[in-house]
Amino acid sequence: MKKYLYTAEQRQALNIVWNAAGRYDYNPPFVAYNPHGVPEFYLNFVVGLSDKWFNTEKLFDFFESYAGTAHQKVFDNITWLALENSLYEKELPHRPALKIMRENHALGFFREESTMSRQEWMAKNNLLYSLLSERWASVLGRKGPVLSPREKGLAKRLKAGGGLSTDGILDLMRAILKDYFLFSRFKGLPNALKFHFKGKLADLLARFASAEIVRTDTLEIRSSQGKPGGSSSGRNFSKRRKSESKNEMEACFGRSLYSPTEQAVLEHSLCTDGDSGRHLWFARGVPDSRSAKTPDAKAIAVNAEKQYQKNRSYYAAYSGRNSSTIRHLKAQITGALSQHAEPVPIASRSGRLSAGRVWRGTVLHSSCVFERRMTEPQPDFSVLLLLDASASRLESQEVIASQAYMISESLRLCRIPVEVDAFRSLRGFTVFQILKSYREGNSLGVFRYFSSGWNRDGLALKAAGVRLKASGTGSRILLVLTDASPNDAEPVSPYGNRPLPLDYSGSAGIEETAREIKALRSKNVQASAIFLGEDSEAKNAEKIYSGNFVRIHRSDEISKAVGRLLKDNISSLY
Amino acid sequence: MLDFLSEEKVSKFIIDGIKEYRQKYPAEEALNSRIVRPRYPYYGHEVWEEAASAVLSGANLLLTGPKATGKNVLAENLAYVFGRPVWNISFHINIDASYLIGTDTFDGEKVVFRPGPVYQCARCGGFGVLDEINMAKNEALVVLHEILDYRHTIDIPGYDSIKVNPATRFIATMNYGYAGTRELNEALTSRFVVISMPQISMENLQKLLQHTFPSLKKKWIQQFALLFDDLRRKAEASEVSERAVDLRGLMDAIRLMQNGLSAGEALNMGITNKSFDPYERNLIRDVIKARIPQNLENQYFFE
Repeated sequence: MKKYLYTAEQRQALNIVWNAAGRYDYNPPFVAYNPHGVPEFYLNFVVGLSDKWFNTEKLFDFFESYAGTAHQKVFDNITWLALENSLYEKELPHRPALKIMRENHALGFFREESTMSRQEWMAKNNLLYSLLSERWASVLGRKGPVLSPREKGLAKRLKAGGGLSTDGILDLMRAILKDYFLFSRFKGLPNALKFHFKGKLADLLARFASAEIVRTDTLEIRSSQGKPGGSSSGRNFSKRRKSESKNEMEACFGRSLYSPTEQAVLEHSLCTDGDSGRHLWFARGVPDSRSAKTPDAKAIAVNAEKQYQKNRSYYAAYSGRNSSTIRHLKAQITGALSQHAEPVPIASRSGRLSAGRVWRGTVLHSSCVFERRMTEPQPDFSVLLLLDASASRLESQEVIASQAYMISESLRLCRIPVEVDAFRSLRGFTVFQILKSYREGNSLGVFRYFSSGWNRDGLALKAAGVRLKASGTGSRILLVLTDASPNDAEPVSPYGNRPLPLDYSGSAGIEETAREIKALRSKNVQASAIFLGEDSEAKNAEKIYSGNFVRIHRSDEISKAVGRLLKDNISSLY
Repeated sequence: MLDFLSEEKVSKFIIDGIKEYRQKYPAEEALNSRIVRPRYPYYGHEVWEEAASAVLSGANLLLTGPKATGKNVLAENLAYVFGRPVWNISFHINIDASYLIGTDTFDGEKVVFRPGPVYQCARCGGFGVLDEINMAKNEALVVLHEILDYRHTIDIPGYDSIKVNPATRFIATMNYGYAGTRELNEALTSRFVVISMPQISMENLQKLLQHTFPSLKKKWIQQFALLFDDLRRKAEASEVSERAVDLRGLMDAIRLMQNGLSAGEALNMGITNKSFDPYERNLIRDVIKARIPQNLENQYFFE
């Protein structure tokens, strides 16, 4: 799964670009930050204006035509200097504030200059820095730096006029690069000859200008926990050894929540039909490497601990935006709750006459003999958030943990009992890990989420039924965070009119899961899903949840999507 | 105000109808305090024609549309044009039948009926503006059914049944999708004719700003209108919440600027600070900065 995630700063930079471009589906090739990592307002605005006034595709092609060359960074900045002047002249008649925005940027440039250390001065590219200095000094009507005649000529040519078309400005830039940098290989170099600026070299190049426009290829932040698919340790673990050992489960996931007798009763009632011969393990504990008795258990515990730290760091990195999501989601849930709140009679000086209080009028001369009906949200339902923790989620563990935490916290803050459980299948066991129970006063346990093994969704849903009952509330909502792609190494056991076992994948897995969703709904559980999968799996989600699901492409969509889902679910309860 | 309708190119036939209505139902002097000239005129001749025709034909109006489409402004304008007193009733989750129709109270000796706004409006032939009607529970609104349909009566349990004054009209407003709103019950909806309010056009927004702030320089009228449009686009793209799309807030900010506050401070108070999310506030500030210089004095904007 490929996700586009942005920090608050990146998103702010994009918003400035989109605002200037006048459209929100524009994917800019550049964004600009100041040396402190704060979005550079004016330069990002110029990037957006380039989409408004020029042919974006032609600009993209031009930037690509020298990408990967040794001078890419300098060429980028010089091109933007030319674009800036032309765009300024084009936009100014339509936007009087642009003059002040430009002057403020120029002032910022010189302010930054005055705080630079000698090392920073030395790291500057003299030519580019002189050109920038000359440009911003002229904007402020100040005396610029001393330039050589050649530099003066270049600076003059970079003041591209507002009357230029896209072709006009690109012709100008090609001529400038040819005349001043002897560069004419605009088709780009073969891949083998290209090199990319990374690490320290990239940092060094980034210091060329005090505020700089940078290519956006760093905006896509992927989870780096390994490739999706079957090469994970969890799956190998499952495939290597299939002895159905409860001791092994206990070593890996801690003691079961239920006594051996209760466990046997549960398995007897739930591991039936296609799941007969399979086992369940309800774990409360956290894998602990110090007490792990087997190498496999130790490996799982070590990985789980590492993932816990990663989940927390990931959440902390986006904490501003995440807190905002929690606030929005909480507001949506509160809104939905208030619509269905039950009225409570309250003594009042006007309203409906209360027979039980009439005596107070005559005996106590009190006018408080009426009652009004006030409405207070008093939710009598619980939510179970079920997380698919199979190895197919390896690439997005931090994202899932963050999303689950936000959902859980929003519900908790609305005083709705919420439990968060993760499920995975290993060696014939479907392990149900309780990350946050109904009673817990915070959702930090959700960061213990990690993925490994397979996902036998049907059996997990049967087990979810047990946990739903444990909530003790009148009504229950089940939300499954899933890719709607059930997959287990253990087959669907023969039952009914199926004489042979079937692979627990594809249509068989979907059928088993859809059946369990139907069974839960027949028990008045509001079951729906938050779908995180690919386009190709959307039809599976449709089949399993009969349309009762929302799809999330980006983590910042969670507030709206889950809010809507919960609103619908809460409405159906009343 | 009828001249304004002519300027808005509302058909003469409708304007004549309004004149006839006013002659037929002259306002009682005692209710003059409730006939208030609206602060802002409503611009948009198509909506004017639709709404005025509905009122002339005796229908009740339901105005639906997103924030800042001028639902309440139109309702106030209609009441004023037709010369009727207004009762504004803001709906909320705790509203119930007794709040709308009336309630029992104690006058020191005995229990007496204290009329509610819907009762008063129906008796005096007023225009009742039922603001955000879909914030209330449908059960609370059932009492409105017989007032709004052909029966035109209010039956108060324990008291009399009264006939609704024929000049009475009810104008409900709703924004489907606001936090805390709900689907309007079909039976209630069928008692209204519905106008889906369009977003205010750039041209009309500039007219409105020009009318409200005659001393605001023309180039800044255009920039404030474009600022509103930028904010609306940002909210439509779900980058900021609808809190930022606040026309009242924008007008308040310009008024603050007129009274000497800097543009930055005024727009912070009128628009930016209405979002309680620091991240969202940054995005809103960036949009404002790109249209309105922050630290300039008011003579820069006003003549």
